[in-house]
Amino acid sequence: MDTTQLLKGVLDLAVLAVLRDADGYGYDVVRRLRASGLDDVADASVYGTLRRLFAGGHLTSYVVPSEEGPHRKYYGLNATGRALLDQNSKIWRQFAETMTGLVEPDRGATR
Amino acid sequence: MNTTDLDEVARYAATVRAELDDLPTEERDELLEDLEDHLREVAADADGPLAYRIGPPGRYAEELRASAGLVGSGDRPRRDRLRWNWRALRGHPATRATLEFFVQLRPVWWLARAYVVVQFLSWMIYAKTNALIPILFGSQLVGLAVLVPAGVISVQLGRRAAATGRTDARYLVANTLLVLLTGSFAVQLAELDDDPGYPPLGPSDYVNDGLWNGGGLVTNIIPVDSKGRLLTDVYLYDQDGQPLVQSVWDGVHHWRYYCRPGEKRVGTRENVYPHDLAKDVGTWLPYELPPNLALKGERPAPQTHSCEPLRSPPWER
Repeated sequence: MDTTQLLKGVLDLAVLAVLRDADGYGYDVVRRLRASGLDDVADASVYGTLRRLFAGGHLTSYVVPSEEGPHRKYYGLNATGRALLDQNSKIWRQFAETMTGLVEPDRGATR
Repeated sequence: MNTTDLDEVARYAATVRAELDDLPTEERDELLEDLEDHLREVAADADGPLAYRIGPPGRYAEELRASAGLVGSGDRPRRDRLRWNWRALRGHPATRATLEFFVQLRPVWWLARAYVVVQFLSWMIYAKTNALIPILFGSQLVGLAVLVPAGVISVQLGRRAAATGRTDARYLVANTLLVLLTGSFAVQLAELDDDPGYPPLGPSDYVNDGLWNGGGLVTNIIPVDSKGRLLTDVYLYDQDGQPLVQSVWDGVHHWRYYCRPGEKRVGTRENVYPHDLAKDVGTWLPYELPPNLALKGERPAPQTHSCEPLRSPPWER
């Protein structure tokens, strides 16, 4: 199974989850996702997702000037972003349980 | 990070930008505002080409577009897709190999165009011939003497244009005209090749099994009127009105009219008697009157160069 296909469906949730811990700029979010084990995540997809979540009002954004490097645009969760994260987390948990039950019936909690 | 990396970043970013140029400017600028910074960071992270680590710029643009929830590539304007396809086609190894092949063939074209120019001059001055070496001032030697420097000049012109990589408008126009001329020239040559080199056969030849008389092939017919005068240009037909043709091919041409190949082809009348005789193409023999006939009237001279068009006579329908 192609993980990039799976990622498409859950990237919003993954990005929101990464930003729950700390604000981050684009490449920083990419790095944190990879560090979590999502090796196949595409840089451009993360940038696009951040842009879309921001346009949808789920993220705050601010620019951090930097002396040596470029000025970076940081993103963070606002109230609606947090709400979206909670909502998506529930959906994900249910979905994951259902799938686990389907694939490994012995470990399945609900049927 | 060195300047090569920066060049690569700029190139990559420019390609991504171009791929997204169908988006409204504001939207695109917002989407791409930290693209260069991102690419620089990726470049600083590790060695190797950008495309190896984050995929080709085209895919980057599509991923960005899709994840940002903007119009997908399927809905992109047709013009853009066409342009993208053209870019992909041009960059394809097979296309590049083909183009390279033709570029290497360029010297052949330089020689060919010189030949075409000289041969064309020859054709303008003299009737169309299928001489391989053009005739100038009545001689192929002169033609050859012109051909060689013409080739040298053409190759020099071509090399200079290829070396500078620039061609001025006059050169381009002349080259295009020459390509067209070469094309028409090739068609003409092909038509000449089709010319069998002997008199065209009339339609009746294909069903003609010859005229026989007294156990032998009839090779000529001598019409005489009641006063003992030789008649010339007599048209003969059979009971069905079919032209009466005396003979199948017997190694000697029997035609009343004949045009040489290369001259305007006009056709022949094979049922017009008496015939002139042609042994070879262009060699004509006066027909012999049978010695047992004492005829009045002049025998017409063989019509070696008669090229008047032979229309069907008015009585033939």
